[in-house]
Amino acid sequence: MLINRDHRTWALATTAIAVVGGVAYAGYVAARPYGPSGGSWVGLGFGVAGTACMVAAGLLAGRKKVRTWRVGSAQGWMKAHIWLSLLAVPLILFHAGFRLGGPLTTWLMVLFGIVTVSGIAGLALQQLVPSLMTSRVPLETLQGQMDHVNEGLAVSAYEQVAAIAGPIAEAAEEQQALADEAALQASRPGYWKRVSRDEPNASPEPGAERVRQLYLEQVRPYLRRGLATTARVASPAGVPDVLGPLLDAPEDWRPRIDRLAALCEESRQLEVQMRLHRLLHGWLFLHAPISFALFVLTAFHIWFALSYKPGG
Amino acid sequence: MRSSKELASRLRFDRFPRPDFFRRRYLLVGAAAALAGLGLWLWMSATGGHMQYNPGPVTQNHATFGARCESCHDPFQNVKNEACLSCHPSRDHSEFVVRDADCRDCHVEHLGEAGMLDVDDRACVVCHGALETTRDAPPIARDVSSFAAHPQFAVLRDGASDGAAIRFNHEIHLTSDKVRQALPEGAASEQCAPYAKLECKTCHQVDETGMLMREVTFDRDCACCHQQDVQGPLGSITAPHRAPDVIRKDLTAKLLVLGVGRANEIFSSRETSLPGVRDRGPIDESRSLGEYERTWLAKLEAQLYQPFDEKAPLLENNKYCFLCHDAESPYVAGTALPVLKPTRIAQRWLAHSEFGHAKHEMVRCEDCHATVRSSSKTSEVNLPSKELCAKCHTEDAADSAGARCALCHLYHDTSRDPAQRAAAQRTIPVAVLLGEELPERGLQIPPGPTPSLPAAGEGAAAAE
Repeated sequence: MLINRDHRTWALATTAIAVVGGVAYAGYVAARPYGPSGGSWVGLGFGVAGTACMVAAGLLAGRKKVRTWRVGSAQGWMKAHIWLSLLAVPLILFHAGFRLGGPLTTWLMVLFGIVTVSGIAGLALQQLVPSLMTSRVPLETLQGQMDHVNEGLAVSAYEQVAAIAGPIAEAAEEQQALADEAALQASRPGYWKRVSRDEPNASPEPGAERVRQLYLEQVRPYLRRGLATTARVASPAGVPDVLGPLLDAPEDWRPRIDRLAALCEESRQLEVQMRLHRLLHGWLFLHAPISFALFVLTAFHIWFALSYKPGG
Repeated sequence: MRSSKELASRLRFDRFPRPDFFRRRYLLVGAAAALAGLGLWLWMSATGGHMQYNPGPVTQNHATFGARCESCHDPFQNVKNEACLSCHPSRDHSEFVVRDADCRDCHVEHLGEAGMLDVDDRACVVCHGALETTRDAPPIARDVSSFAAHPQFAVLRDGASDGAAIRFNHEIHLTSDKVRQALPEGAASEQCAPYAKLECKTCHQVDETGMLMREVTFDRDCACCHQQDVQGPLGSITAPHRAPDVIRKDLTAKLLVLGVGRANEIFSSRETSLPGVRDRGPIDESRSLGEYERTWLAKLEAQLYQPFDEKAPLLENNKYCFLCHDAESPYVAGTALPVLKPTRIAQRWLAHSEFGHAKHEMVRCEDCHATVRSSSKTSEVNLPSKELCAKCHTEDAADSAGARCALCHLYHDTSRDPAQRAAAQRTIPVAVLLGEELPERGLQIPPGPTPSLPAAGEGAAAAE
């Protein structure tokens, strides 16, 4: 979620609360002969407030499981998650008196630190990565259809090469996909938008062999590098150079060769998209599970801390 | 450039997008993480028990309780005073307090040694910064928030004087020439040699606690120069430095011993013509043992109780009791024994604080008691002022000797007497500390010797 002017209310409110809490903490520390204590009434107050912020922020996870409930907008929940989580940091530190305490509270602090840092990192990535995605991946697609789109690229590449070099037996997956597509459209005419495919060249022209060879050795392995294939060939390190080797190709092949190069470029962009997507969402693998563990240990901490010393 | 329409044509809308790994296994990952947290807690419980909840190190003495948190803690309650009092019996502070503080208000555990014994000023200022007391509270300062705001010591405030009923002149005693000249003949013997030149420590020595000066006693500190020798029938008789009735019994006994043992020398006799035979002659009433005792006792007491002559040189005509003491009523020889005023010599000047003389041995006596060499009257109080203490005991100075309340004041000291306080303290049986006998609340720990006195005041400040 981008932090923009829409967050001003949340930012001001949480900053004000944090400042008030800081002032109260300073006065509290000055008045306490032996420094702050999480077990004092003021310390407990900070702990309760901080935990409330953590729990409220954690409710976002539950909210995502019931997206259809009319309980505030998704943006509102995310804003609350971000700012309440950030507010929890000073409150919990005030509660702890900037000390780690015993083993349990030390673990709590470690987990809280991981959750906080990963969350802030995720928030920072969300400010940066979308613009990177826009600039570097103009052909971005839905992440959930990445496999389908990549399969489509491979099929389209086969279509272009087959139109020059004729059917290629090694591209069994592409041939099967085309057959399935044709069968699907034939089964329910008019239901699907008609996709016109170029037929394979029944009589390959002289010189088409090198196109076929380039396809099988470089283009196809590259396009299928993340897909299932029966003819696995080591995928090239980078984008295959399609245009260079075929500069002297006949002019009527040119649109297909350009299309082949474009498909490779599109595949490259989708790979970039995948990396950026992992970067954008990967931190959640740390942030969310550690949050669960944090809540479990927090429950133990609350129970046993209260059982030993509520206030004073 | 491909159009959005072309790009959209890549998608299939006959199926929902496939969620990513995390979303597909959201519950599984969450449950696994929660179980990991639970496992972490179980592991800490298995390896450290309740020590995992220990927020900080306990004091060395309490460390012997180990993980038996219940020794002090009750579930869902603050640590009760009874938990402390079961081993540390004293917590009295003042009968005038409005609200008696809880032990934990000043002694904070789980902060190592610092929080338990090193009581912070703020723990005192909480009450003494704006003191509220019961109606019959003594007139003590009610706005002491720091040593800078501490009032002058009560014994030095306007009109305050030494109320001891005894004449003592520090100036004369500390001026060596006068003392040497005043020494009686023969007094400058080897025994009395130290008294030829008096110093403070000649009479004032720190007691075994290192805190107060030991009591100055006549027999130890005065008798060499001021021995109460009165002229008897066969020479001087030394009267004890006791109450008049005791002195009378002592003198009577000594006269009786002389009268019986040296009767021939006391009762007049005449020599017979026969060598070696004494003829005492008839003993009449006037020469009876009883009359002898009455006569000489009166003479001796007349010497002892001769009135103080202010005009006469001190030790020429004022050798005896009334050199220093006063009688409740003027003594008339031959009448009842004089009743001496109780001396009421202060053994502890700063009644609400503790001052450690031993800890101030790096300074000279006159550095603090500057007026003592010119002090000629008992009523003069020769104690250092609070301002003098504040020269070293400054606040917030790097080289300060400290200015914290607890340097001088003891919260729990109700007796003001280190010896009495030491007797009131108790040791905890080793069995208890080792856990063989869990200290139940209210456990009566038998009295025992205390190995050391509590650290006491290093400054001379007094609260009141």
